[in-house]
Amino acid sequence: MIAVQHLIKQYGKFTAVDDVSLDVQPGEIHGFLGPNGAGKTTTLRMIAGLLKPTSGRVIVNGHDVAAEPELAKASLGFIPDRPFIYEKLTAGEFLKFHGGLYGLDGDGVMDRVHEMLDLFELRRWENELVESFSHGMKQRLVMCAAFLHRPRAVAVDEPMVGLDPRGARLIKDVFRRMSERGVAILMSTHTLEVAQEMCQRLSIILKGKIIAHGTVDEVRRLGGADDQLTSVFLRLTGGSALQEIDEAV
Amino acid sequence: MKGAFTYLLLPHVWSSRNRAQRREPGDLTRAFLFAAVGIGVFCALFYGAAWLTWQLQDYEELGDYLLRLGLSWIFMTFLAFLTFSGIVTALSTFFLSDDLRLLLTAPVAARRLFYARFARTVVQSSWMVVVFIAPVLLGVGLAQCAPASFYVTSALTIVPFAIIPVAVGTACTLLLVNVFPARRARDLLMLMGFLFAASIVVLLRMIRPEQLLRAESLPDVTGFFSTLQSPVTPLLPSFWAGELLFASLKGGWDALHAGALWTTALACCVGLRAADERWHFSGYSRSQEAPKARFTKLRTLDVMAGVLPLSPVRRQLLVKDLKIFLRDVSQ
Repeated sequence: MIAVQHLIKQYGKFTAVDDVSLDVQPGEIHGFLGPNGAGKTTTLRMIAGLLKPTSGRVIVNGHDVAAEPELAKASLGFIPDRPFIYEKLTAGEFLKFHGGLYGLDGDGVMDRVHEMLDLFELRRWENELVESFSHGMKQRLVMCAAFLHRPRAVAVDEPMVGLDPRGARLIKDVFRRMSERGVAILMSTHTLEVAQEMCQRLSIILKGKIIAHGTVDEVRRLGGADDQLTSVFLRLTGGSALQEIDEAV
Repeated sequence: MKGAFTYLLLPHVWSSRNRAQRREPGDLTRAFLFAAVGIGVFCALFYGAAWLTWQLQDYEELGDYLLRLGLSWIFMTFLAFLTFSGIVTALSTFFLSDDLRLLLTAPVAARRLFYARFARTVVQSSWMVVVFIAPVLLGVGLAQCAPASFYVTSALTIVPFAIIPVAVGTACTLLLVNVFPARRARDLLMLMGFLFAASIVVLLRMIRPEQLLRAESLPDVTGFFSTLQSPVTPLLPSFWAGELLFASLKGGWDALHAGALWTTALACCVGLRAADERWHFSGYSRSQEAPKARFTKLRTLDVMAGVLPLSPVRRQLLVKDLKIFLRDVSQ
């Protein structure tokens, strides 16, 4: 599980994340929604241990990220919006190295690497350099790495960006299967249809603060009678009305 | 193996191997060209050092004295170079390197990451110094008919000698990234460049090279060189390295300076590791902050560009270039 408690991140006088609290239970896919610059990525980077919070706590599977970073990170899979992959390694080498970082050792590691490459349909490119991969292939390779060590919790930032429909479908299926096996998934996304389709609960963040949270139905009801998540999201986050767009154009 | 810090260096080793195996057109030619230049420079340095040492042998005790001082001053020059190189390289390896985004999200102990990064910093900062100093020491050793132990001592001297200034440079970077209010890494580099240039000027003033031009001082060469000595010189690793190598050149062993070099290098590693464990993450976290734009209110520039007889496209290109110029500190 992932528990975020009163998380604050300040850059000088600017508060990027302002007292954010949320929890993702085992087996839950939790959608983390918000407009650009709302604080989603900053929150996820603090959960992954890439940024130091100004205050607040992040607990991953019972381990405080600040106090027990190695234990917390060992059970977390993180898929960033801008992942890093060693371009001059082959896909197989990259995954083998990544497995080593998480203590995967021996003959079993290559079996697991092949299993993940098969799952994400990358087996054919196992011995190809990553620099020759398309964006979607790199995204799938990063997912392979994130799930390689069988994490109990996953934080994922914009997983569908740059994926073709087949890739997007694959990712959705994998996430669903993972959640059925008890993995807690916190997913930041702009694609409201994806959130509506996959998530059990949602949190909407605006200017660093959580402005709405609950099940998909509960969040929909916040917007009134309208049952479209997109309309609710725009109303809550102050999205432009069609009239304003017409005038601007 | 997977628990050792060297595991974190494997991607660089594998990447180099892959680059070598999957050569692109022109790679071989480039490699030959660089190798030829490298060998040429190596031979020139080797011959120059050997020739100079042979010449100095004609001057009995004075020759030895000058050789001893020369060794000390070569190392002194490299000390400053390695310190600055350490600052710049550490900024990249410890804080700005892209692969940190991968390594910091993995369950890698801070200590293990430190050793891997520091090893990389030392190698990246000092390989040029090693490449330069190796033929010089080989030339000196050959000219002096040095025993085999001289070459072993040389290797054992260069390692701690490189570690000490690079550790100092890394500590400076760690401190600056945590304390300095500037958000831009390049701003830091600019400041470091300025400080380095200033330190070179101060160093040159301390050496007072104009004394070389004074004819009346030339007969008293030892007197001149004694003016190069300063009270702090014996406290510097460059002095220890010079003394150690000179003793080894004569077939002896200077345990005091060897001990000083190695214990200081070890102490630097231990101290830096402790500081890194305490402040690296906060520094890294700070370095992730978006840079603050400077010169955002340049209304005058827009007004001035507006009166110029230019087409709108050219005017906007001019304004854009001027603003980028002003905001980019490297300009």
